Order: sequence, then structure tokens, then C-alpha cells
Amino acid sequence: MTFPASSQSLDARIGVGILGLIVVAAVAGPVLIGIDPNSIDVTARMQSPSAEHLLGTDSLGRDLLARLLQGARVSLMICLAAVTLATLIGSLIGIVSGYIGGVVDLFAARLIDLFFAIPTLLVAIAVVAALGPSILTTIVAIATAYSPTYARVIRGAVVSVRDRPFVESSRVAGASTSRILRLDIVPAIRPVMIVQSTALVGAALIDEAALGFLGLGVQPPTSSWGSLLSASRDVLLFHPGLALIPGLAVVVTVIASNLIGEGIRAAGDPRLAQRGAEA
Amino acid sequence: MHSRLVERGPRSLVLSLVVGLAVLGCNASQVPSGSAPSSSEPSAGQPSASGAPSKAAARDATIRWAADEPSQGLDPQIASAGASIELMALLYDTLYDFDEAGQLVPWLAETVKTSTDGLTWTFALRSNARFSDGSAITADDVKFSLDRARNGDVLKGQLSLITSIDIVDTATVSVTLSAPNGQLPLVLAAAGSAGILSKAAVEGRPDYFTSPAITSGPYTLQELVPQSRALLEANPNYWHESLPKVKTIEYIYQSDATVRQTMVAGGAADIAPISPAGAAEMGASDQFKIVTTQNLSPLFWGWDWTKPPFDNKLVRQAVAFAIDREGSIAACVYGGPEKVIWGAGPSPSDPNYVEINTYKVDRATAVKRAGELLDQAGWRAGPNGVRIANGVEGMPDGSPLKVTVPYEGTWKVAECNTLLLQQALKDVGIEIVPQAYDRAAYWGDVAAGKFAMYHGGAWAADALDFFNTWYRSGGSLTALTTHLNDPQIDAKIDAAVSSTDPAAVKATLAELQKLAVDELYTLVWGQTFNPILFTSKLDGFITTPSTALSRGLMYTDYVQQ
Repeated sequence: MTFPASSQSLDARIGVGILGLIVVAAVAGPVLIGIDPNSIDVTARMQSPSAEHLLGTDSLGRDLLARLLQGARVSLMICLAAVTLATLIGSLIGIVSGYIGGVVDLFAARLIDLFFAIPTLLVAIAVVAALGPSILTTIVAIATAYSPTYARVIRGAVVSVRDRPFVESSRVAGASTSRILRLDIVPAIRPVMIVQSTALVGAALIDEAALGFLGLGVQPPTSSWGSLLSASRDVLLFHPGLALIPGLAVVVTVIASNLIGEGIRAAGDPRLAQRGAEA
Repeated sequence: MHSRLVERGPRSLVLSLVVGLAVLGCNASQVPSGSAPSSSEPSAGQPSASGAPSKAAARDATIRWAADEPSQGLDPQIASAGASIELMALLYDTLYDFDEAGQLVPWLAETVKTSTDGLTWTFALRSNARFSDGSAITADDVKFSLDRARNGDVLKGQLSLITSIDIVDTATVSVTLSAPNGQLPLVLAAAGSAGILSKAAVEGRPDYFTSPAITSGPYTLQELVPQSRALLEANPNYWHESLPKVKTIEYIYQSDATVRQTMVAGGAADIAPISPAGAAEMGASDQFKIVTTQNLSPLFWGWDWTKPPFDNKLVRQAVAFAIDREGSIAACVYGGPEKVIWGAGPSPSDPNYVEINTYKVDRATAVKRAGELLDQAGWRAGPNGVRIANGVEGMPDGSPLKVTVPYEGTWKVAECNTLLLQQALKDVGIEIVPQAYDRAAYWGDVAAGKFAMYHGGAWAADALDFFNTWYRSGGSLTALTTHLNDPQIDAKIDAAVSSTDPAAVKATLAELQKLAVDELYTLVWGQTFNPILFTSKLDGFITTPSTALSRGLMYTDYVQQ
């Protein structure tokens, strides 16, 4: 996919750049700085930034930069895995109910409506409460919370293309339902899927942080950005940096994710693409 | 709190940055503003309809106290959780209590006489002792209350020496024991738990404890809103002439110590227990004061010593060597070496404390000794630095020495201690997996024996109380700490409790402390304290050796300008 030559394109490129840097830092950072993020040193608690600890230390004397990078790895992994899972579940429900219609669609739509009546974070909290907090549970919880949103969008897209002439011609030519779904429907709705997935990344990151902040995300000593925010609470009034640094990381990543999503949406929108070309 | 967190309006990106800050203010809406004290001077109170003597009326003002919500209700027979005791302590008076000087004195009882053999205690109630509805507190009420207590879950063990409670006359009760019990005054001072109830009120209303309105304590309950607050008003018929000082207490429920600290700092509450970390960071100032509790609050590692790996004393002793007591005290409790416990559990300041330094060695020696003990127990060095079973009874060979250690999820001190435990035991090849646990279910699951090892914090008034409540079968904390049911240990404790010879008590307690350090039914390693933060507008708040912090509220008043 190419970005149209517009302001959205520039934003998307900035977003890709920022997110790329964060991913590189998450993957390579812990190796490069060579500090164990879980190593406690009670003699070095709450230290200010120094050559030894570039972002200082937390209340247990752990290196904040090391924990931030470990948190980046964990938080990004959780939200990407959760969005992937939500995409798979949501796509399956949306495509099947949208294409088959009838009772299946009616049932799926009511089920989705039911989930929509409950805030996504509450759904995620309920899942974590039922399964116990862990990285895997957090992924499942966020995926469960977002699958209905995804399914509704995909269902709508499928309904809008299922009676188009190219689908009708396949049907008349005797193509099986499976073939039609694979070769006609999915390619037609792929831009919607991509945009929706990208948009969910930012939301999932915020919910991961919220779950971590509530103590329902990854368990200590493993850090995520949410758990770093949570751990900063006791000393928030006196060491605000412990909250601001992971908070800033969440903000920047969500902005980058949203910029990319906007760029992809613009690239898939012919009106925006034409406007960009005229400009 | 949840309803705020789940609101999903426009997703401002800034939300993620300020998520922590938002929580800090999430209770503000529950707190009515403007509870400043009335400027009026205390005026003489009116005699009650029942003819009680006149007393100084409590100042017409409100103190906003932020603390945990009572998690086990308000029935002293079954509620042992600290959060419940804190509220019960304001509602129910006891025969004994600690006075402003911290001395254990007869309280609702005016005089106490003991027979020469120490087996009969006679309590004469104060002539002006009345419940909040004006009815007299009688011997029948005392008998009813103590009978409930000695048959209840909380004080059954400590009151087990009582053989009968008899009414001498309407204001006098006689308690007969099977053996002398020097601890009886302390047990009868147990805040909330040994509270005196109105027999007529309790028997007249099956749901009395859902909202106990007729009470013997300095305050009576006006309103109870689950997950929000309780509103208490001064008992107009309270026997003490000058207590309580202030008419209304708004008891705001807030389980997060950091939020409580912010509430006081921001003016949404007047006084609250906060975390040691918060106290250390904040410090006292012109605007705020901090006091700390006097009672012993031991921190310990509890374990299931009936199953592997902790059924082997050598493993328990290895852990006792390997843990980093001083590091945990410094990093988690913000305390100094005086908070470290090397012995059985009693505080070094206790007159019956015995110095036992078996495990007090330098780090290198501790790791070496722990390793030797684990080797002897059949836990050999394994891959990835984690020991594996090799001939350990009840464990398949090759099983890793890996233990999940739960802690109360909302208690930051507990999380900190557990993380330090993980790091310390890693050095000796024990893998600890910290597990933040649902606070509401935590102690119930401890009592049910669900955990192989767990973090704990409890309390004890002194060495004798420590063994009586932690080690005696049926002790109020035994099921949560040592899980003991040993007739021989019971006999030793009963002997100490019954003895009137201080030297004999000291000798027995010394024997118990040596046993405790050797057997390690629990591993007490330090003691914490509870700081209470309050605005400088308040004056008179005290802490006593009582198990309830809130008890000090009845002495508290606003500073008179």
C-alpha cells in the first residue's frame, strides 16, 4: 500500500518512523544497555538520572530505562498479539454473519450488541478476574473485549460487498462459498481490516496500560508500561518522573499508531487520494 | 471507582498519561466538601431522657477519616479483619482499654477484683454506662457479649480458660477461669472483638449487625453505605464525661493508601492511615502531622509446613538464612535495623524478648549455610540455577524447587517484600513466583491452607500475646499464621498465661521463642508500623497499643483558635 501525497502521508511516515524506533528499542534495547531490569539494589533507590542509570532508578533501585525497555517489549507484544487475535475472531464472526445473513447474522448481531452494552475495559477486567492475571490472560482479555467491535465493522463491510456484481458473477459461475469468501469478499474488505486493526493497536495499548495500572496485567517483577505506572503511585507526589516516563511512552506510541492508521485510511479512500493528487 | 475507569468517552490521548493522576482523585466525589469545624465552643450537654448524668457535648464538627472498608462486617464474633475491627472499635466499648498514656486500664468496668487464687474476676460496671439509646449497660449485656465472644471465631482460643460467666447483680459480673490468666485484661481490651453489645438490640433484630445502631462505644452508627462510607455520631449517653471530642465522624472507605494520602493532602479527608513509603517521602510539616502505631506488627512468611517442600525443617531454615531482612526493611518498610526481627517474633523492646541470632550472619555465610541445608534436604543444584528434588519424600525426582508466593495485591509493602524474597532466594536456587492476590479472598484462602508459602503481616501486643494468639490452637491468628494445633505447645502457653511468677513466664516464653526459631512454623523477619497522616487542624489524636488505630479518634478534636 502506498500513501497518497498528502498531509496524511507525512503523518503516516512520521508514525511509522516513531513506531519503528520504539520497536527497535524494545527488541534491541535490553541487549544494548545490558542491565537486568529486575535486578534490585536497595542501596540505589530513587536515584536521579546519571551515567550509570540514564533515567534513574525506581523504589527498589531497579534501572528505570531497563524496565521501560522491558515494558515496551511486553506492552507491544501484548497489544499486537491481542489485536491479531481480535482480528482473527472478529473477522471470522463478521465475514460469516455478514455473508450468510439470516438467522446466523441475527444471532451474531445480537451477541455483538450484547458486548457493546458493556464497556470494553470492563469486559477485559472480567476476563482477567476469571482467568487470573498473566501476560496470556491480558492478551485474551483485550482480544475478547475488541473482537465484537471488529466483527461489527467487518460484518458491515461484507454486507456492502456481498451483492456486488463481481461477487454475483462468481456465484453464477458456480464458485463455492469458501472460494467466494477467499477470492472476492476478503480482498474487497482488506483495507477496512487493516485500518481497523491499526486503530485497535492504540486502543489496546491504552487498555493494557489500564489493566497494568489496576494490577490486573502482567505480574511483577516483569514490567509493562501499565505496571510501571502502577508502581509509581506510592511515590507519585515526590517522584513524578516514575509515572511521566512510562506515561509518555504510551502517549507517543498511541499517537504513532493513530498516525499510521490515519495514513492507511487515507490511502484506501479514493476521495482523499484524489484530493492529495490534486494538491 | 470502577465506574469511572470504564467510562469510555472520547479517547483523549492525554488520558493515558494522566491515568495515574485520575485515580488519585477518584474518591473526591464521594467526599462532601466543607466539613470544617464549628467555631462554637463545647456547650454543656442535656441530660438524656434516661436520666444519665450530664456531660460535655461533643464539638459540633466532623472528622473525615479515610480507611479500608470493613470487609468482614461488624459482628465481633466473626470479624477478625483489621478493616472491620477499625470500625467496630468506635462502636463497641470494652471492659478494658488503653488510656491516653497507653496504659491498660479498666474502661467500661469501673473496678475489677481478682480472687487470691486468680481464678475469679469480678467486674463492676460503671454506674453511668449506657448504650446510645440511653438504656443502661447491665451485667446481662456483659455476660451475653462475653459468651458470644468465647464461642465465636475470633476470641475462642484466648478466652478458652473461662469456665463460667455469672451475673452477681445488675451491674456486676463474675468470670471464673480454669486457671489463672494474666492475659485476660489484654484479651478483654481487644478492640471491637471483645466489645460489649446490647443483648436486647442484638436479639431483637436478626439483622442487627448489618447496621448496629444501638452501641456501647463512643460513637453510634447513623448511616452505612457499602463501598462508600459510614457516618458515625457521638453516643450522647457515653459514660466518659469528656469523650468523644467531636460529634461526627465520616468514615470514608478507601483501600488505596496512596489515594488516602492524597485525600488528606488535598483536603478531601482530615486523617488517614498511609503507607510507610508515603510517610517517609512526605514527612511532617506545618500543615500535616504524622504519628505511628505503638503496637507490634510483625511481618512474616507463612507456609504449609505439612507438605513439601516446607514440611522439611531444613528447607524452612534455609529460607530463614537466605532472606534479606535488612534489605526488605529498608526498601519496603522504610525502617531501620530496629525493625528487623532475628528471633522468634516478639520485638527486641519486649521485656520477655530473647535474643537468638541463629540466622544473623553475613550474606556469604547465609547463602552457604542455606545451600548446605537444602543439599541435606535433598534439593540439589539443577539447571538454570534452580534446585531440583533428588530423593525428597513426596516429590518426584527432578521437580524444581519453585514456589508461587501470593501476597495481598493492594498492599505495596507486601509486593515489595515478595520481590525482594524472589531475588534473595534466587541466590540459593529457590525460584519464587510472586502472585498478586485478590485482597478480599486472601486471608480466607490462607486460613483454608491454599498456599505453599505466603506473605503475611499481623499484630501482637507483647511476647505472651504473640504466642497466645499465633501459636495456641484456636488463637485468633493461629489459623492465619502458624496453623498449629499442638497440645504440648498449648500447655506451655497456658502455663505462661496462668502463671503469676514473672520469672516463670519469662522462662516459658524463652523456651517457646527457641522452639519457634528452630521449628519456624512461620518465619517472622521484621516489623512494620502504620503511619497516620492528619491535618494540623486536628489535635489530640493518639495511638495506643490497641489493635485499632481508629480508637484514637475519640480523643481527637480540632485545634481551638
